[in-house]
Amino acid sequence: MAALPANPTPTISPAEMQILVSRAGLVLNPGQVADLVLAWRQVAGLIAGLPQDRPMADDMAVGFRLPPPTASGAPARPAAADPAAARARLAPQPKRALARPVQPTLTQATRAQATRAQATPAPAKPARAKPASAKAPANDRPKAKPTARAKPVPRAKPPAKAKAAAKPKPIAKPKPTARPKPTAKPKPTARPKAIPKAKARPTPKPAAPRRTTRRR
Amino acid sequence: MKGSAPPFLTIADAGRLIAAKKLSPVELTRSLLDRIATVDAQLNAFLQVTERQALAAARAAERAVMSGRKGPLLGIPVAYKDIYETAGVRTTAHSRILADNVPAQDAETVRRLGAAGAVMLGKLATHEFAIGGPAFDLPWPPARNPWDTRRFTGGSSSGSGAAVAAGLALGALGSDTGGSIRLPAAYCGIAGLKPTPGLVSRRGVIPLAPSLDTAGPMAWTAQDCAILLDALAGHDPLDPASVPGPTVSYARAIEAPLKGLRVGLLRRFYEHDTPGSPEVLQMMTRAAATLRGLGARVEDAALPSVQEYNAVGRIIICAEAYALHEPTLRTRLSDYSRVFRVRVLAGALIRAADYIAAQRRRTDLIAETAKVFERFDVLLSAPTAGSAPLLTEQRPDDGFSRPLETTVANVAAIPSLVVCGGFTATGLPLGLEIMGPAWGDATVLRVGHQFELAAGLRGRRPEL
Repeated sequence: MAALPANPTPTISPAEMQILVSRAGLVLNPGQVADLVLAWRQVAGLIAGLPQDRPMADDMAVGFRLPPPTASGAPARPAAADPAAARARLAPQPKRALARPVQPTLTQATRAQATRAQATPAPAKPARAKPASAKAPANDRPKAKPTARAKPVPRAKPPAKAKAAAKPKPIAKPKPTARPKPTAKPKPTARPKAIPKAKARPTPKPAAPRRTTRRR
Repeated sequence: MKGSAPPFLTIADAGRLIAAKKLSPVELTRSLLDRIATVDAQLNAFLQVTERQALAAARAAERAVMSGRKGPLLGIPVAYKDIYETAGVRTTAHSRILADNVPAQDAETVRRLGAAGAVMLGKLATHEFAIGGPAFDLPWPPARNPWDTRRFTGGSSSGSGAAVAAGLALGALGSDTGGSIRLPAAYCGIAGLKPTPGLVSRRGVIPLAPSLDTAGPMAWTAQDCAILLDALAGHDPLDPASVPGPTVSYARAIEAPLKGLRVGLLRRFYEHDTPGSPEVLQMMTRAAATLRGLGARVEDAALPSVQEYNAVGRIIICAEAYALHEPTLRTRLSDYSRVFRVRVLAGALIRAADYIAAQRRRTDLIAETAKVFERFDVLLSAPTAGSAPLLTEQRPDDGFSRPLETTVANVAAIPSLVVCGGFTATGLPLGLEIMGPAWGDATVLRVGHQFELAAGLRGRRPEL
């Protein structure tokens, strides 16, 4: 068996275990405590194998992103994750920050919202979850009027585009062209009246009591 | 011959016969219901058989066929692991806790298969909440291996593995958090795919550890898994983990030959980290030779140890599963099986710092695994150290004490397929695992399909 990096196994005394169990709101009988001790020994061994010496600045490593699939459908080559590059990507970029739109004030957004509501009374729609991009607060909505100082951002200029971007993408389905072409449709006159039974069909059994569900 | 009888048809063959109007979906469904009634008492694969709904769906499929509709899943009988929510049909997760749970809606995957014309036969056994392990203190007994009913099916998609191998369903859905699709596939001699995370919606599937859970297909062949995946894959905007994956027909992609494909053998995994039996080692040598014969370039590859992936995976599973179940554990502790308690309760003691350390280490492992795929298109390994063990040999703490090779793909967030790689001298199946890079689902299915065609192992079924 491969050895894991040697780290001190975290120990836990019976009293500490009892405190943690009580804090979790659990009431265990002696047999269950014995099972927990058995399991905890194993888990503690696994925890001891985790590297604990990661630099503090590397905490962004908790997140990961899969490479996007290629348009052709071929499996994408996963980019080797490079923590340094990831940090560089995440670092604040002052030039981009300057280009950001000034957020409209809450009052303006509320007013814009009220105007919209008056102009087009929305029909009652069933509640539908939206992707995160669509959950922007009211003051991020592209229709809200920017303040006098703010230059309208290119993205917010064409509201239709911005709206489209906020909509959930349609479910990706395999294109019909990607499937094998079906053979010529049988003419209605050629249809058999009943589907012929399979040759190897097992002999039907005497009618067993038909149930909707069977439970064991 | 067994292979030509309706219950033993592959999804591909049954679909072709139905489309050609040579096989009736109603007769196919009836033949499977009859076989379930005859055989399942030995296997306990089904928790519930939805006979009336199945026949109604089969009649509807037959009408659709007669009216000219076509589709590879039209009239194909399938069954679902009992953690998939099914509208109006009890979904228990094989647990007393949800014994009376009747969902109002179908899981997205169930809905997609239904829309493609598949016929639901019923709900399948699992390990309690997809983690428990075989337990005898639950309202339903554990599923048994159709190759030898004294033996373990593997888990947690235990009923799915048993049902497909025994010819009780042509396909099934399972879920995989640390190997739960691929272990039953290996022990029951079928094909099972753990897809790239995000490719198949998990909405409506009772979670175990959301960081690692995946839903996926199980069937007799890799080709059947590809047909099922064609219907299952696709972005679900209501599943936050769902990703718009590649638009590809998996069933067509698998037909491409393997000439020039770069295959990495993870020899250290099955020779050292989770040492395989001599029969497993021979099976791996034969599998490599088969792929070489198909024109693939096979070389040794190396990843971090199975133990490293396993430590990360187990800590995450234990902590997340405990977090999900804590409210119920407080009030209904004794209603869970002992195996579940042993595997989950320790999550109460895992510190946040340790959980985060596991997630951070996971990020490293994802990157290290991805780097290896710059040199290889797929990696080959053995998912188990041997054939199915006896049910009585299973221990409650197995989830921690014995590292699972299959957990590598969950932690690394990559697709992984298990197909039947061979048989032991006593006739028990051995699994072969094919892993690919993220979004390489089509490639792993292609390798599995071409291997199955070349190895010629799909003609053998369990005697029941």
